Amino acid sequence: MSGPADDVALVRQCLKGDEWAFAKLVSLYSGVLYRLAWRMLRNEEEARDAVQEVFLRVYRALSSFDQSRKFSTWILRITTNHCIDRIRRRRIKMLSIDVADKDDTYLPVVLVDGRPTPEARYGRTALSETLDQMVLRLPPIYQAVVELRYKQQLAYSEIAEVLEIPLGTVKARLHRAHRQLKEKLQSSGIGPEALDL
Amino acid sequence: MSDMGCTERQQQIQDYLTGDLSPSAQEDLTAHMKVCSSCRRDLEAYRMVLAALPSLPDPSVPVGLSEQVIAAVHALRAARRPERETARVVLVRRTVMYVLTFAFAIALGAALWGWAARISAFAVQGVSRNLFTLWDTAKDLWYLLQLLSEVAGVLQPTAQSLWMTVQRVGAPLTTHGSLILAIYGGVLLLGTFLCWRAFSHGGERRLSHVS
Repeated sequence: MSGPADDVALVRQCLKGDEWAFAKLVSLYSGVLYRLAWRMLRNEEEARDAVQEVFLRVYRALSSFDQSRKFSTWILRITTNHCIDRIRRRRIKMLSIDVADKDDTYLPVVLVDGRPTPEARYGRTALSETLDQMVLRLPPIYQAVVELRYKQQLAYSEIAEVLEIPLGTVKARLHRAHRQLKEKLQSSGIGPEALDL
Repeated sequence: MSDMGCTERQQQIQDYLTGDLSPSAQEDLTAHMKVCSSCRRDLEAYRMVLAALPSLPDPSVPVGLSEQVIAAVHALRAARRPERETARVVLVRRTVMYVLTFAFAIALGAALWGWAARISAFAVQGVSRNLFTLWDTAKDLWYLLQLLSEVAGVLQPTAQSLWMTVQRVGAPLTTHGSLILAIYGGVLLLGTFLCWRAFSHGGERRLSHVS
């Protein structure tokens, strides 16, 4: 991402009808937004569509952007909300983490892989894959906070601004997400001993 | 050491790992850890989760994504251009209509002022000496009523029928009266036409398309 001042300058150019400026914004942010959308949706085609839809919304609403705020926050908010909407629309087909608690079809796959355990490299890969699936099964509002915190590396205050929620709510959601992930991980049998940590 | 239970320690453990725990609370937690194996296991599990989360897999960005987005925005812009032009046309048409309506109101006011002056002059000079003026005023009022009823949509005479009516009566109008009548005719016909265009088949559809 570029600096906030550069972004606002580009937005001003866009509002004057400068097509190059909008193309510049697209090239600056399309990668970031695609990674975020893919992380939340886990589908390449859907993530592409989401990014395109977000930029179309940005283009339509650019005149309403408050230039005293950060453009990155604004566009991340649009993307996150759009992804949450998409997840909610297909939620009926998804398993929540609570349902997954009763469903052992996924997690044993890691454990019956057949490789020698404990082995640190395997353990870390297993942990990463398992945790990744667990994040995906978090409720969308928790998932969004986790993605913004750990993959976009935003501060709590920035997450609060992106999601338009109080700082305390950000921390509470993150704590609950950590706790759900920790409990799920413990119940899966992947622990510090298994990973030789 | 506080009486906090292991369930309540969960948040404290997370705060400890993220560096958000105060020194005194940290001492309290450390003391608890020495005697609680369950919380020690939780601490290690949380440590593992927090360490692994930043390194979860990232996708590679598809080639040509930016170009695809820019093409979509271009398509949107191209689709919106005619809408903007239509909106401009509607704006111009409405402006013209308002200007003409205002002109009509001014003309009507001027005419009423003229007739009022003529009637008052007639009253002053006396009926017997102003029969011709009386006849002239009656004719003018008749035309006015015809034109007003046209505005109200009761009668819809064309410019031709209006002109024929004037010819049939054949009465010489004063220069002032003819001028007012001409302005009325023009403004009313144009106003009626524009109103019909704006509010019947064309304008509403275009406006709804714009919105």
